[in-house]
Amino acid sequence: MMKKRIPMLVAMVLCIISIVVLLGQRVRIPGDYVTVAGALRIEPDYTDSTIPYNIAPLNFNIRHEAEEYIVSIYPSDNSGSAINLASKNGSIVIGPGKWHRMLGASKGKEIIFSIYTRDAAGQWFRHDDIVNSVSEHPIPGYLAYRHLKPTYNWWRDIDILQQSLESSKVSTIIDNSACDDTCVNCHSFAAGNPQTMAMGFRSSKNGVGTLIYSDGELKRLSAKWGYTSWHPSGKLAAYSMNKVKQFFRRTGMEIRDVVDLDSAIAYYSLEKGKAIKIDALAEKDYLETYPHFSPDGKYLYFCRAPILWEDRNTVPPKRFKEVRYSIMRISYDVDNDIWGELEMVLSAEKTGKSMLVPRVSPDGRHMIFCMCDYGCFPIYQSSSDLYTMDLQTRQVRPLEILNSPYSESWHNYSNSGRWLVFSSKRQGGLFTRPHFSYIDDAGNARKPFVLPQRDPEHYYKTLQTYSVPEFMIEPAIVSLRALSRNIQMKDWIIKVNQPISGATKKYGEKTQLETNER
Amino acid sequence: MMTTNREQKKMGQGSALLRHALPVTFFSVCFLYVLLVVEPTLIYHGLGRSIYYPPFRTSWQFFAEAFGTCGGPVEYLAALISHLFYFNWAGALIYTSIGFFLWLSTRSILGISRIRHVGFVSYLPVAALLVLCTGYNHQPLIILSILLGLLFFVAYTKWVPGRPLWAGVFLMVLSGGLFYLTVNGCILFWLMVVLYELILRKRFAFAGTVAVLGVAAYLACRFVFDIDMHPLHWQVNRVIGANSIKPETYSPRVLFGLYFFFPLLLVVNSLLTGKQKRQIPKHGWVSPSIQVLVLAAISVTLLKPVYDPGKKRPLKIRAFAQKRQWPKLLDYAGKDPFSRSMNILDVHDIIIALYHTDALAEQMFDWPTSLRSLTLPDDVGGHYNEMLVRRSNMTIEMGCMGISEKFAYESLINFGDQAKVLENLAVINMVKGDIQTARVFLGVLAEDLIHSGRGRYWLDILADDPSLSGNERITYLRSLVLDKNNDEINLALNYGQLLKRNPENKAAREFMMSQWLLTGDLDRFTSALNRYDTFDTGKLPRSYDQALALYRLTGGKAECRWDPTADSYEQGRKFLGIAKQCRADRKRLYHATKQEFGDSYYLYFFIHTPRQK
Repeated sequence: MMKKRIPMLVAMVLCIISIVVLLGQRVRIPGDYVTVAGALRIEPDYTDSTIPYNIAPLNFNIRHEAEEYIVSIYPSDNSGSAINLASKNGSIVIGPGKWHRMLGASKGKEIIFSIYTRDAAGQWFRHDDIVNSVSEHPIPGYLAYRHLKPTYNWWRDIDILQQSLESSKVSTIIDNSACDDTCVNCHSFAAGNPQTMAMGFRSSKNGVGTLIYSDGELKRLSAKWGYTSWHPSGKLAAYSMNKVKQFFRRTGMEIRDVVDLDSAIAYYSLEKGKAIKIDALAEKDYLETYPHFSPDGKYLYFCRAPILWEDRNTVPPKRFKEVRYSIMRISYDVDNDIWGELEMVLSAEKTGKSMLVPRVSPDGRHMIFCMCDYGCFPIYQSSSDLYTMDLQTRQVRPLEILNSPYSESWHNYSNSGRWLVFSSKRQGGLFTRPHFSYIDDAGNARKPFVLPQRDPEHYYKTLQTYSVPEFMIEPAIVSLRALSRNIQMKDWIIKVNQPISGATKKYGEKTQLETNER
Repeated sequence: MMTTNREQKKMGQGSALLRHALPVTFFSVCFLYVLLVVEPTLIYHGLGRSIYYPPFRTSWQFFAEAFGTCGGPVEYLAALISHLFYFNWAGALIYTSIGFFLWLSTRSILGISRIRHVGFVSYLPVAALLVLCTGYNHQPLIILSILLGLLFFVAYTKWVPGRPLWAGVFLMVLSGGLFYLTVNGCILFWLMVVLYELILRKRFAFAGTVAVLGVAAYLACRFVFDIDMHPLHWQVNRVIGANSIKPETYSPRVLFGLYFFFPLLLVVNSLLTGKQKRQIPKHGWVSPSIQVLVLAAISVTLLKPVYDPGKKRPLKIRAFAQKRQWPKLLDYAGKDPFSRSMNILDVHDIIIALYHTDALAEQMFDWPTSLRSLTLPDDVGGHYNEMLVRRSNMTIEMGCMGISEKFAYESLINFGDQAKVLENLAVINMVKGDIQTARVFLGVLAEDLIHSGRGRYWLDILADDPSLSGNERITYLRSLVLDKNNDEINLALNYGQLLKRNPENKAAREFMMSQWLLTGDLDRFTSALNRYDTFDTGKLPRSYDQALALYRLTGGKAECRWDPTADSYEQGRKFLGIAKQCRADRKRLYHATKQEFGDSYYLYFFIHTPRQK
C-alpha cells in the first residue's frame, strides 16, 4: 500500500515545487521608484502608433543601460489584467495569448507600456509611458514579400515568403533554391486573395516567364510580366513590359540606379487565355509602367514619361536624370473589353518630380503614390516619399508622418482601406522593411510601425531586405513544389510571342500578340 | 603443458598489443599528418573562396532554426566544424575523429561475421578521407551523413530484436532519429539494413518490407512532402555546383566510392563468411605486421599523387593575407618568388603585403608583378569571388566606397556571409555615415564563431562615439571619400580625382605610381613623381629610381624634381647596351639579362609592359 503511494507523493511534491517556482518568477511591479521625465527609446519604434487589434505581439528592445527592466502593458482604462514582463538585457518578448486577449478587449482604446529600470545601486526608475492606440479595424491576416539580400549584379537565395501578421509565423511561397536559383519576382494577388495570383521568374536555365494561379490551376506563360495589377473581377491582369537596366554610380548613399530604356503596358485575359496589347499604353515615344486598376475596375492608372533618348541600348542613356513620370489613367469597360481615352491625373510638368506606383484607396477617394527626383525606380531614390491625392479635388499633399530622409515606396492598401503597407529604408538607407500605417476616414495616415517579429533584434541581425510587400487575406495555397516544378518545366503551357516592348509600335497601329494555348 | 599455455598467452598478449598499437599509431600519424601537412586552417581560409562557405552563427535563433528542421542538425554540425577549422589543431582533431569513427564502423561491419582476416580494410575509408582533405576538398556534410548512417546501422546490428515486429519498431525508431539528424543518411542506412537482413540474417520477407518501405519513404519525401532527399552522389554535385567550383575529378569519385564501399563490404564479407569461415585462422589470414605494411603502402599510394604543394601554396598565401600577417606572407612567398604555382591573385596579395609594409616602391619587381595582378580585371578565370573580395579590400583603402560596396555585396550574395566582407560593408557604411546599416552588418558579424570580437569591437566603438568622429581609421577614410554629389556613372578608378580630394591618400598614390610603372607610361610616372616631397628613406625607392633613370636614358623630357642615382644610370646604360645587341629579340634579351636584371624595372619594362608588347 505504501509502495503505491510513493509515486503519488513524489508527483505532489514536484507539483508544489513547480508552483512555488512559477510564483517566484511572477513579475512584481516595483512599488518604490523614482519618476523620470522622458520616454525611453525602444527599437523597433512602437510608440504613438495606431495598431490593429489582431496584430502579432510588438516585441521590442529598450535602448537604455540598466541592470534590470520591467515593462507593464495594460489598457488605458485599466480594464483586465496587465501583462508584466521582466528582462535583464532590455529585450521584451510578449506572450501571444495574453497580448491578443488584451488587444481584443482594447479596441478603440489605448494601451500603455509602463517601463521601469533598475540601476546598479538597486534604485528603480519609472520612465514616461509609451502609448499606442488600438484600432477596431483588423489588418489582413498575411503579408507576402520578397526576401533577398540587397542585389547588385547577381541574385541568389531569393524567397517569396508569407508572414502571418497575427503570429509572426513565416512560411515559404517559393524558394529559388528549389528551382535552380531562378530569380522569382513581381508577385501579385487579385484583391489580396492568393486564390488568384501571378509571379515572374527568369534564369538562363528555365527561361523568362510568368506563373499564374487561378481557379485552382497553375499556368506557365512564356511572357514575363513586370509590375502587375489584377482587375477586381479577377478576369484579367494588366502588366508592364520593361527593358530595365541597372547601372552604378561612384559615390552616394545609394550607388545603384535603374533605368527603363523602353516600356509598355499590356494585359492578359484569363478567359481568352491571351495577352493583348493596349495600344494607347504602348506608344513609341513614351515609357508606360506601374499599371494599377482602381478598386471599382473602371480605370487603369499608370505612369508615363516621354523617352528622351534615341539610342535604346546605351546604359545609362543620356538625360536619364531628366525622366519624370506623370500619373495618368484610362477608362475600361470590363464587360465589353473596351478601353477609353487617356486622362492626365497628375502631370510631372506641374510637380517637377517623377511620380510612380499609384494606388487608389478602396473607396476610390484617395490615391497614394511615390514622388522622387527622377526616374522609374523609387526604391533606389532616397528622395522618394509618399504623397496622397484627393481624387475629387485633385489636391496633393505629402504624407509627412510616413516619410523619412530615406526611400519610401511600394505601398498597398488593405481591402478595407484602413491599413497601408509600404517599404521604407529608414533603417539606415539600405535595407527595406515593411511598415504599416492606419488610414483614417479623411485619408490621413497615422504614425507607422514596422512589421513585428518574434526576435526584437531581428532587424539588426538580418541581411535580407523585404521588398514588394502585399497584403493577403489568407495564406497562399499553391504549393512550393508545384511552383518550382512549373518553373523548371521544359514546355510553356501558354506560349506568348511577345516583343520585349510593345512600345516600339505607334499608337493606333494594330498588333495582335500571338497566343497559343496547349 | 604449462609452458605451452604461458607461451600462447604471451603470444596472445603480444598480438593484442600489436592490434591495439596499430590503430593508436595510425591515428596519431593521421593527426600529425593533417596538422602539419594538410593544415586544416587553410581550409577555413578557403571557405567562400575555393571551398563552399557554410553559414554559421552562434545565436540561439540559428541553433533553433537548424534543430527545428529535419536534416538541420547535421548541417549545423557541418558548418560548426568547418568554422572550427580556423584552429589548426581543432581541424586535425576533427578529421582524425571522423576517421576514427569511420574505422570503428567499418571494423564493426567486418566483425558482424566475426572475421578479422583483412583488418587493414577497415582503414580504407580513413584513407579516402585523407585523400579528400589532402586535396582540400572539404565536404563535411556528406562525410557526416555517411558517418551517421553507418553509426545507426552499427547500432541496428548490435541491438536489433529477434522478432520481426520488434525489429521493425526498432528500425522505425532509428530511421526517425536518423531522418531528423540527416535526411540523406537514411538512404545509406536503409540500403545497409536491407542487405544485412537479406544476406546475413536471411530474413527475406523483412528485408523486402524494409526495401519497399524505404523506396516509398524516399518517393514520398521527394514527390509528396517536398523534402530535399537525394542519394549522396547527387548532393556532391550540388554542393560543388553551388559555387561553380570545379574540383579535381577524383574528388566526386572518392566520395562516390566511399558511399558504396560499405554496402559492398557487407556483400563481400557475407560471401566470404559463408564459404571460408572455417578455414580462416584465429587472427586472420594476414599477420598484423604485414597489415601494417599493406596499410602504409596503401596510404602512400593514395596520398602521394594527391598531395600537391602547388595547391597548398596559394591557400597559405591567402591565409596570411586574410590574417593580415604581411611580413609572414612575404617571408613565405619569398622562398620561391617566381614559383609557377603562383597565380595573379597570389601576386596581388604580395603587392598588398608590400604596400602594407611600405616596401611596394622598393621591391615591386622582386616578384612576378603584372598589371593584371595589380588591377585584377573581371576575367580572372575561375576566381571571381577571390577577385571580388580583394577588389573590395583594395578600393576601401583608396576611399572608393561605392566601388568597394558593389564588390562586397556581390561577394556576399554569391559566396556567403564571410566575416571580412561583413566588416568591409560595416566600415563602408560607417564611412558613409549610414550607422544603422553598419549596425546590421556588425550585428551579424558579432554572431560569427571566430570573428565575433571584431563585430563587438565596432559596436562598442559605436556605442561610445555614434558619429565615429573620434575614430582614427574612419576619419582617415572619410577624408579620402569623393564628394557625394560627384555621381559620376563610372566605376573605373580615377586616381587623379582621389588625389585631388586628398593628396595624402597613400593607397591611391602608390597604386597609381605602380600602375604607371606596370603599363610603362613613364611620362605620367615622371610627372606624378613631383607629388612626392620626400620619401621615408630620404631617397627614391629602387623601382622609381630605375624607372626614372630609364626614362632619362631613353630621352624622356618631362620635368621632375627628382634625379635618378648614378648607380641606376649606370645599370640602365648597361641594360640598354645589351638590349641594343639583342635588337628586337625579346626572348634573347630576357635570357641575356635575367640573371643580373631579373628583379629590376629595366627587364620588366622591355619584356612585360603592354607598350613594349
